[in-house]
Amino acid sequence: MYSLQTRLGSGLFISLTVAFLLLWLATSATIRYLAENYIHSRLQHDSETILGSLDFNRQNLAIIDKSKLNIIFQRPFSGHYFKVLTGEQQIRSRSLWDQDLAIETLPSGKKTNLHLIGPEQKPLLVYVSSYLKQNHPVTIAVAEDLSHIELALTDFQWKFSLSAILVLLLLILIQVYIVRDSIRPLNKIREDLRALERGELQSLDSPVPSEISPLIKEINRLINITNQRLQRSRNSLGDLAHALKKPLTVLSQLSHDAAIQQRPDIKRTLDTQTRTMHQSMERVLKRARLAGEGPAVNYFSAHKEVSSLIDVLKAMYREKNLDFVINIPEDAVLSNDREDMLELLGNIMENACKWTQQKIAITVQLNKDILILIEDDGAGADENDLNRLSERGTRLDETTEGHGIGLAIAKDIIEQYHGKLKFGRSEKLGGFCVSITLPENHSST
Amino acid sequence: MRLLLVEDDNNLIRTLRRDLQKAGYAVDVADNGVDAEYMGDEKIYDIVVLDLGLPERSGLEVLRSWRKSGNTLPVVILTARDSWQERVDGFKAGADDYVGKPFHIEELIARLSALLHRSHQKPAGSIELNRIILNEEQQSVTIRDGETHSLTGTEFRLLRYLILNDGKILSKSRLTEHIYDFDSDKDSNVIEAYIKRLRKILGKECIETRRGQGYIFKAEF
Repeated sequence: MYSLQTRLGSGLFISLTVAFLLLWLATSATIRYLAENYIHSRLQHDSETILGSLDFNRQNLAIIDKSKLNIIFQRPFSGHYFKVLTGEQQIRSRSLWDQDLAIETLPSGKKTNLHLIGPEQKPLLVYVSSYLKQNHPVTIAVAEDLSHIELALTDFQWKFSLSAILVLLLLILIQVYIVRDSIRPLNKIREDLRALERGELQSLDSPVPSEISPLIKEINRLINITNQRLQRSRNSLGDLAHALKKPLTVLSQLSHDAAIQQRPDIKRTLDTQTRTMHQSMERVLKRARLAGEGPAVNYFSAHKEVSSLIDVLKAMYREKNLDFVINIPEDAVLSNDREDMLELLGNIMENACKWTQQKIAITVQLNKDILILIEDDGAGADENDLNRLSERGTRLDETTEGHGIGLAIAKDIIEQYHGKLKFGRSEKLGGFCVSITLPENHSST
Repeated sequence: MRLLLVEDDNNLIRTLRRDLQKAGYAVDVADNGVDAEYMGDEKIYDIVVLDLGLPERSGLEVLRSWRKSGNTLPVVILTARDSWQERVDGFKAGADDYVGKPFHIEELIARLSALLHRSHQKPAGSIELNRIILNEEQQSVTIRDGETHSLTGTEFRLLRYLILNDGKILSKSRLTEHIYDFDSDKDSNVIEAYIKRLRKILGKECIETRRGQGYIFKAEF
């Protein structure tokens, strides 16, 4: 796992730092080059002026006409210096005062640039050239203090670095913003995926950048395929149930036939066998139809669906004049498949309807887990029966039809959802109490 | 009582028709959704047994379109599709009761008769009017003085129809429509003969003749 944000941020930081460093070096070098070039040409002029003011007397001694020279050479440590070498003779500018320039004589016609440390430990640029004047070889060195240029350069470099750092920070901030902004659709998708899991969405349809739209399309396609498969297998199982139940119905009606009524042994076998077939078929087919865990196609809005189940049960058990007490938050939505939940609650509530005197209480609580309680005011079951009930297909009362199979199917559904099913005595109504615990958001853990 | 059986399986039609007729219903059969919808709107049926998996038009669609057009015919869905979701959908579409296949014929008959009582605002169980008790299971009538008379099929159908619609004027043609199915020979003059026989059992005052209009079963006299 790595963060796009950090990757992009560090990439940008490194590349920008390298770019600024190169720029810093190039600009510094250019500025130094330009400044020295400018000084160099001035030194050249000074050198020529000195050559012009130089004269040799009859004793072949070199004399400089100081009036022709710039006054700056007279002021001590002015930063502008010269030194003339001819034969044994050396002439130094007054500005050098007691200092000297370490210059060698050059063969005539040669010129060179030197960097020396001059008076007061200041850096000097020295232009040395040699001429032939009145048949005397003359080497003239002219120097200028570079320290003000160094100062200006350092100043420039500081300012440059400072603004570079500011620009760098600004760019990184802008980049962070851009990255966040481009990642925002991803956050939206993450939320959408959670909503999908809860069953609030059927597919991902928020606008996304073109780079991730193939991914979203793929997710949507997979959701579609899963839904279609579930639907298809449910439909074909429904058809299978239909196809099997029709002949089974005909068979079970056969026991009313006059000819068979006369053979009680055959009638009994026919009745038991068709009933066993019906029950096993019911059980297996219902288990096969379960959606189980995973994003639900249709979520289960508890209050509404339980109310419609109650309408059905009231119609089915009209003679009992049932009294239902619902304690379910209006907005309780379970992220479980609607059909599975209807099957689960339908079976358990119908069981309660069979046993109750009149009152049935349904409670749904959404905390960390989903807790569903279905209580009745019937006779309830004793300790032994409660234990036996948890076994597969156990029937407590063989005369009340379908009792065992309903609870068994409910058990299958709860197993699919990794939930818990407990039987006990109702504290509120005194009868049977079924408590179901289903882990909330099971698919994300 | 005239019953519309909507079912597409021939074997089941045969046994169901036999059992329902034995239980005192005049039975007509529709074996596809389109016929069923048309026949259900005829206003001659008292109750419908409706399968959901039908050719041409599904049972749920048929039921929905009846209810949409204001047809309040009592409907019992009889289907192999009996998941709770399908039950909920069935009741939402306007079913009055739901029986899953395979089923016991006794259960279906009990539910049909309970539904008929309900739709005629009569209590569940045997109907007691004044001094007459109609036993639907035995197809007999008990007068309060203790005498029990068993009834023939047609007598039972006629008396049940009269009792369930007590206090209403019932024309001869209406009575004919509701106690005979399509295949029977219908002769409205036969009705007079049956009324006469019922009067003989129950007493003359029980069924009043309104000349030119029909008969009324008197709840109190």
